[in-house]
Amino acid sequence: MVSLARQTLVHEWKRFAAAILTLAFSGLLILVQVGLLLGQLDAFTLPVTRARADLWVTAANIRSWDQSTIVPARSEGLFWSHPAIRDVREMAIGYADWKTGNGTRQSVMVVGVPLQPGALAGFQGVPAETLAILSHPDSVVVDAADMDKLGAEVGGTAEIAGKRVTVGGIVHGFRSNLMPLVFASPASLRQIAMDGGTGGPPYFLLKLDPRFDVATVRDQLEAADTADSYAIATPDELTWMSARFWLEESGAGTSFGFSMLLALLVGVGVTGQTLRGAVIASLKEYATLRALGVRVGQLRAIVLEQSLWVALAGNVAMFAIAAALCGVAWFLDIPLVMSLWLCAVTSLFVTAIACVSGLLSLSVLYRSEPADLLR
Amino acid sequence: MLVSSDTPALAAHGLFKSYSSGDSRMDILKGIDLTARCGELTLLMGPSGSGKSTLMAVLAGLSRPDRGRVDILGQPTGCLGDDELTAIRLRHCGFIFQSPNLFGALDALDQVRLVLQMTGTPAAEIEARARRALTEVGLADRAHLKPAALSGGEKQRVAIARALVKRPTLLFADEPTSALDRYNGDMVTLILRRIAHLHRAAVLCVTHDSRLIAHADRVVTIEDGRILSDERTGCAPSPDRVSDNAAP
Repeated sequence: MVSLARQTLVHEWKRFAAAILTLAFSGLLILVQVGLLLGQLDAFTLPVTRARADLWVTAANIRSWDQSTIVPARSEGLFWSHPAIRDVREMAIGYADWKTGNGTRQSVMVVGVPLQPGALAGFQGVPAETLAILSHPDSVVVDAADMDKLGAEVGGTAEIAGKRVTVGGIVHGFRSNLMPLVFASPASLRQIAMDGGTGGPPYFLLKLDPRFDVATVRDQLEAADTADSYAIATPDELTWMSARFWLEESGAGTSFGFSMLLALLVGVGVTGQTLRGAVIASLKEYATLRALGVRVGQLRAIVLEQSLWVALAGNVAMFAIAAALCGVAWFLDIPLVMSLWLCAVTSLFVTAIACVSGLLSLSVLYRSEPADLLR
Repeated sequence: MLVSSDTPALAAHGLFKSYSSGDSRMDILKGIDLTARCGELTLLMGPSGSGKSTLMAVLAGLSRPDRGRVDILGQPTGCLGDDELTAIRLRHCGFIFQSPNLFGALDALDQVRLVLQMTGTPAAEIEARARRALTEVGLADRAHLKPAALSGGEKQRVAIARALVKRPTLLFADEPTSALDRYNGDMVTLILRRIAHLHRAAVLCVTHDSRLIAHADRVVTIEDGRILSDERTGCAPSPDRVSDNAAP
């Protein structure tokens, strides 16, 4: 089987290299940007996604998980009264000043990790030994990637809001983009925040009996709250709501949309011109085929096949470069998330750019008039 | 298509064709009658601007006449749409142009295979037919070479193989030897003659090259859009000799 499109691509690789690289970088712009965005979002919602709760109870009418203030303490009884509830825990976070002896000052988010044994104890990714460290009074742990920023060392001391704490250990994969996270026991956090416990905690974490449907239980608990004093969401819902708020507030969504448009325009522009140039360079050959009885539709198929080959080569180049960038990001501890769906969508995007470019270049095919060869 | 043995491969009657440019109008063909029979190599000769290339385009269905009629194997082409004309060319016509117009990416064998592939030839036949066509033009041992590695004459012979592999009843050649040296020109001429005589094709060849006259069955001279003379050369045997056209 002769594939004119593929053989031309190999033979004239220099002509197509610009289009292939442009496609690859158009895709990379999307892939890396969304990857970083997902990494940032993941970093932004770390406590939500890593806690073991099936449902999060927060203050009512919040737009982002970190805005929760008080959930009335009396609500806890209501939660326990539901037959699906297996465990209920308070959880709190606090913002404070971190200071070390070497002069480092930094705003931090102190996260109270539920330590009491049970289904809601600890966070995913925090080993039992670390939880044991937190059970020591005034011990905290921080992410390894934040150590330099905090001027901290394991075994060293620091002051949080004027209270002396000991850095008892480190965790990995908890580097937030908001500010460094400092993990403490609920008791330590209360001491740091000088919270008398009046009113109620900012969050309740709920663990359900797996036989119950999470969404139904959420609806029932929400309906039970006639005073509209709290909101309940699954971790996914809370993450998505926070992500949307962050995208809107930070302008990252707009900037991402603009980049995507730019990638589309540059991709279509360069790829379209390259494919058009390739068609124009072979106009006489195409005209000869038409004279021999080949239909224009068959020639169109060749041009579109060529755009698909260019898309394939562009995708290969894109994923090769993306893999290298992932390695660099991992090495530098930059949160970059490459999910399967992101790769699939970006690959489709690149293929679509190539196909649109191919369609745009079809118009020149009609210039391949066989009669012109006889003039 | 079943046609009587008396049916000419090509018959044109009263062809007129003109081109307009702004307010000016140029008459290119001024009432041409021409018939071509299978088994003959016919040369269309004449000075530049005489209308011979336009005539060939009209005869081959690549361009439509303003007036007049063209029948290919007895079928009138005037009432056919573009797709039907393309189908007629697919079934019956081969073309050789002044320039070989080969795809730079394909070797000689693939140039020929591509045509068969795109014209719906059964896959099992393609390889053998393509090799046979290349053998016929003396390029069996050059089948693996791309155009960049072939000489001008060899490229033109690949173009001929590409045209004849479809086994056309009508072969149109436009100045096929004008860019070739004497040796290659002679070789191409002999191939065209062989296609006419062995394959029983009607070969119409537009040329300025007087070397071809010695190998032709018939020479039609055109001047100013009219047939000036139509002569049998008597140098090449042709079983289907008939007197067709006379100069007006």
